[in-house]
Amino acid sequence: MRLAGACPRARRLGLLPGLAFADARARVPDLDVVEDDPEADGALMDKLTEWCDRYTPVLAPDPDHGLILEISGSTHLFGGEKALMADLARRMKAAGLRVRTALAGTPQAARALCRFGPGGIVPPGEERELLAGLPVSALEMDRDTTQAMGRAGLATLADLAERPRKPLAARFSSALTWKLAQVLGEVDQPIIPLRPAPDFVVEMRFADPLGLKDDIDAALGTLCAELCRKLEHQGQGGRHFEVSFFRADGAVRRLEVISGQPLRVPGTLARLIDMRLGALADPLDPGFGFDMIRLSALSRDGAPPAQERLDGEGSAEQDVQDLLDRLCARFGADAVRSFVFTGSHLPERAAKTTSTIEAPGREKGKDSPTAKVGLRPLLLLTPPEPIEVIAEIPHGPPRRFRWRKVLYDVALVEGPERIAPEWWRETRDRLSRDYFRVEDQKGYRFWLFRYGIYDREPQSGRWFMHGLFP
Amino acid sequence: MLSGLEGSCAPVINGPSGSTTELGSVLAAVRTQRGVQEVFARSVRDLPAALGFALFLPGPSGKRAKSCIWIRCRGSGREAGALYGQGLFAAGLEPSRIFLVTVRDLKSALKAAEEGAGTRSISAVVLETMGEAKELDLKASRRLSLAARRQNTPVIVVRTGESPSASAAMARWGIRAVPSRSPGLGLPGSPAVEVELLKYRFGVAGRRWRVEWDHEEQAFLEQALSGPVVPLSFDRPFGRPAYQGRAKAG
Repeated sequence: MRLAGACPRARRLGLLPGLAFADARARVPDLDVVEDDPEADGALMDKLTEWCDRYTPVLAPDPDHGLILEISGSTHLFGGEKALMADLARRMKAAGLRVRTALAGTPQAARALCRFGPGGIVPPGEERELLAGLPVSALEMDRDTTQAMGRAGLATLADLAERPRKPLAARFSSALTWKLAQVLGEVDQPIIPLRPAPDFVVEMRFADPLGLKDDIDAALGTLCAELCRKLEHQGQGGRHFEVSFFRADGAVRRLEVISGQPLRVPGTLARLIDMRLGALADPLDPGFGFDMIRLSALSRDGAPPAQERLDGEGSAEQDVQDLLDRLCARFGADAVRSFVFTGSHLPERAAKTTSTIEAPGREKGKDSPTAKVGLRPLLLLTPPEPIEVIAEIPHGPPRRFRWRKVLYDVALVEGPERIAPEWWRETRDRLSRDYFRVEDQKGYRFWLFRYGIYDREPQSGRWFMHGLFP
Repeated sequence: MLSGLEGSCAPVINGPSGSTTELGSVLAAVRTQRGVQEVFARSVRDLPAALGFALFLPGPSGKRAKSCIWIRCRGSGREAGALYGQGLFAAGLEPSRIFLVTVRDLKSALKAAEEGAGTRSISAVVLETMGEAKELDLKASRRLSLAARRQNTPVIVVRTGESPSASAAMARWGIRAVPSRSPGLGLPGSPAVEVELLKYRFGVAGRRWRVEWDHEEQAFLEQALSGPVVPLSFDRPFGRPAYQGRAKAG
């Protein structure tokens, strides 16, 4: 057993990570030990990452308990770089965490300065001077390269920076010179953000955390109006929105709202969000209040300005679409469905339903069945239910059948309508079906079929109930 | 406003060539009233007939096609079958104008119905319930009917059962499937149902009709008690005038 980490006090006593546990115990008998739990550390880091979203939407985890935040463009919200760093450090300290921060022109320079140097802020263009004093291990090359550099008398980055790069690459590797250029701020390799930065973001910060529903609704209303104005300037409409609630104690709650059409009407968007909030299985808990709310449009579509028509035709369509979107937000995108038709003659494949979100902007005429088909039932049973049938002759219509434990006597019958399987598709459904429309003596009307042609196809003679007529 | 004018000017044609059947005139009168209508399937097996009746209850929507919201609870699809697009098309409806909303329980269904009823430009909200539907009590149906009246959207609740509980519905229909009139050769005829107006707030209730659905006219015709006099030919369409005469005789 070895030490995985040590607090500053332990380090002062000479207990460094990597030391054998027995040795550490021998040196300091009354040692406080906690078992290493990388998973819990990871979970905490994930939570911190979520939380740091309040500073900038572009951020990425930096392995071994680090985070890289791209803060260009968001420092003014906090009153400058220094204030931002101070705010971060203060909040982290309040949460009981120790944090080291560094700010530099490139992510690699910031990482090196934070992990191997004193931290702090590097003014633009001064990376070379400030980072020159760092040891060569700050480049984080493999052990052999670092050792080889030490043997060659290269101790600090300044030693490397002075030398021409080509011989260095020849002696060690081109990866070394590349890393050196990154750390010294000569090339900028942008970070790969954890989540893509949305195109349209609006946010509100509150000096006093919001806890009341009315306040939250009012804030959401303002945010919706602001976001919609931004979208309108660009002639865009949002299809996928995200609302993030940043709680004062660090918890972040994100909600997604999907719209079936490009949306930029503040009232509609606010109602969608309201419906989504109302439908939460685990309601939004403000706790001690939210100190920030962010609304972003994650995906969008072009939405040219629509002209209102005198007869209100367009607005009627709009009303229905808005209603469908609200129902989707309330009950889930899968709950609201519309009919689609495919060019198949198999009844269960001919007409299906699909989520209205997935099939937006359907073309007129295309979604109606074009082929003239026979009479079809109003209700279809999926899958067809097996029934027991008595027929006068094996290939004839049914005389009497038992479905769901009830016996029906057939009075009137029409059929058969023969529907062959789709041989061009690889399915297990290989037999023809003979459909009959029957009416029993009490007036109930059914659609049932015999599976397989008698004497010609194997295993024929099974009967199924497939649909119900009004 | 235009749609309102159009609605008031639309001719009430519920029988062949302009003649109005008794049920047709009652239906037309009911359609002018705002509120919730209940359609009771007398037994579970009458449910397809009740659903078919409910679909045509709002009446022809006129020149401007409107959308209909169909709400049902999850799980009832397995029991009663799922609404079938081609069947709707075959019945003369436009499937692309019908939106299915499947929700977890009746409480959510009521919420969805209320949301739908509060929207203009919806031709009808159909709420299909299964079993006893205890949550759909007087209070819930009162809420629903207020929402329906606010935007003048017809709300139709399809229920199953013999003894309806109290509700705030303005009209209640009882539906039972009856044997159809065979055109001969042992073929099934047009769908026939027995319609009973169980309750009507603005008129006389308790009347009963045996009607059959006429696909061409998109209307309910009263079913003649006697069968056809002459067997009908099955290799060519049978004549409409003779048919009309029989309907009047009955």
